[in-house]
Amino acid sequence: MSAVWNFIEKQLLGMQWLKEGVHALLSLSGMNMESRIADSMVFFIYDTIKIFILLSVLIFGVSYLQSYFPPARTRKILGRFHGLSANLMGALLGTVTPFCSCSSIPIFIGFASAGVPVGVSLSFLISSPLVDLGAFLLLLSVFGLKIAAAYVIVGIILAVLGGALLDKLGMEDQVEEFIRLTPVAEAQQETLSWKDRCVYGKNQVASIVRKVWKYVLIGVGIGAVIHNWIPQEWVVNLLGSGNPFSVILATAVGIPMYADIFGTIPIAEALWARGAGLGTILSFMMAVTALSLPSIIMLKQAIKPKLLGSFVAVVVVGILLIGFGFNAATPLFL
Amino acid sequence: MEIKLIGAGCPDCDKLKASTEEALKELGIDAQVQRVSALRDIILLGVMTAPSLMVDGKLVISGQAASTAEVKRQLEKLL
Repeated sequence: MSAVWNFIEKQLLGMQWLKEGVHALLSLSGMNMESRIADSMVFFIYDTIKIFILLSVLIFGVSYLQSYFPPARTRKILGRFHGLSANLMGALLGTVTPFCSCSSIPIFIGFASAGVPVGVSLSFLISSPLVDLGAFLLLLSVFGLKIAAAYVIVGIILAVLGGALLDKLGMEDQVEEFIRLTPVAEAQQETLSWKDRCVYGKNQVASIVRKVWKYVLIGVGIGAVIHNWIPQEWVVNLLGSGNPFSVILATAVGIPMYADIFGTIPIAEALWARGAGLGTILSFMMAVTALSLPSIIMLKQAIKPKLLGSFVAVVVVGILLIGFGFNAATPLFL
Repeated sequence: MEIKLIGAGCPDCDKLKASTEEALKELGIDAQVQRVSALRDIILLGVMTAPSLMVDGKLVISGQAASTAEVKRQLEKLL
C-alpha cells in the first residue's frame, strides 16, 4: 500500500522521472552536471514542465467537478446551515467553487443579497483563493501529504474562525446598502451535459494558463536562483524557524505580491529545500494568495471600510499565528 | 433576440464578446450585443459569474470565455 502511495506521490505527482529525464538530456549535451548552473537549469526546466502539466490536468479535473457547484447552488446549500457549521460549509464550498477575482465580488454580493450572513460569506471569500483542490494536489507533489494536508486544514480553520469572528463583531450593517436592497434574482439555466462540462473545463484551463503562465515562470526563476545561488546560511538565518521575525517578514513580503498559488509554490519549494522554516513558508504562500491589492480594491465596492479593515486584520493575524504555530511544531512534520 | 454580455471588464469578457459577435455573424443573426457591467445590474439579472452570456433572459454561457464554435452551438439550440 505504501509502495503504491509512494509511487503516486513521487512519480505521478512529483514526476521524478521527468527530473531524471531532464538531467539525462542536459548531460548528453556535454554539460558539467556537477556545476551550479546545470543544477539551476534542471530545476527550472523540470519545475516549469511539471507545473504546467499538473496545472492543466488538475484545473480540467477540478473545473469539471466545479461545474456541479455553480454559485447559485452554493448559495442554496449555504442557506440550509447555521452557526459555525455554516461557516464550515462556506469554507468547504470555497474550495470547489470557480474562483477568479472578477467573479469574487458578484458572488459575495449574490450571497449577501440572499441573506447569507456576512460571516459565512467571508468564510467563503477567505477560503476561495487560499485553499483549492488544484493547489492541494500541487502541494502534495512538491511537499508530500503531511504538509499539503496541514496547509489545507489550517487554511480552512482560518476561513471558518475568521468569518465567525467577523460575524461576532457585528458587521451586518457594513455591507453597502445597494447590496442589501437589491432583490434576489436567479437566472434560468439549463442543466449542463457532460460535453458542456468538458468545454467548461477546457476553457478554464485556457483562461488560467493565460493568466498565470508569467507568474509561474517568474516563480520558477526565483526558485532556481534560491535553489542554487543563495547561500544556505542566509536562508536559514533569515527565514529559518529559529528566527522569530521570519514569519512576519514572509507575511509582509507576501501580502502585496499579486501572484497565483501556482507561481508561489516553486519559490516555497526552493526556500524549503534551503532550510526555511515550515511555518514561514506556509505564511508566505497564504499571504500571497489570500490577500492581494486587486481583490481588496474590488471588495471595497461591496463592503464599508470598517469591515474591510477588520477583514484584512483578521486574515493577517491568522496567517501570522499559523506561521508561528507551524515553526514551533516543525519536528512533527519531518 | 436580446443578447446580454455580462461582466465587469476582465480580459475574458472581451474575448467572449468577440466570439459572440463572430458567432452571430456566422449564423446571420442581426442582433446587438448589449454589455452589462454595473455590479447592481449584474446582480439584478441573477448572475454571479463573469463573463456570462444571456439570450432572451436565459443564461447560456456562464463564467467562461467560450470559443466562437461553442457560442454558435449554444445559439443554434435556441433557434
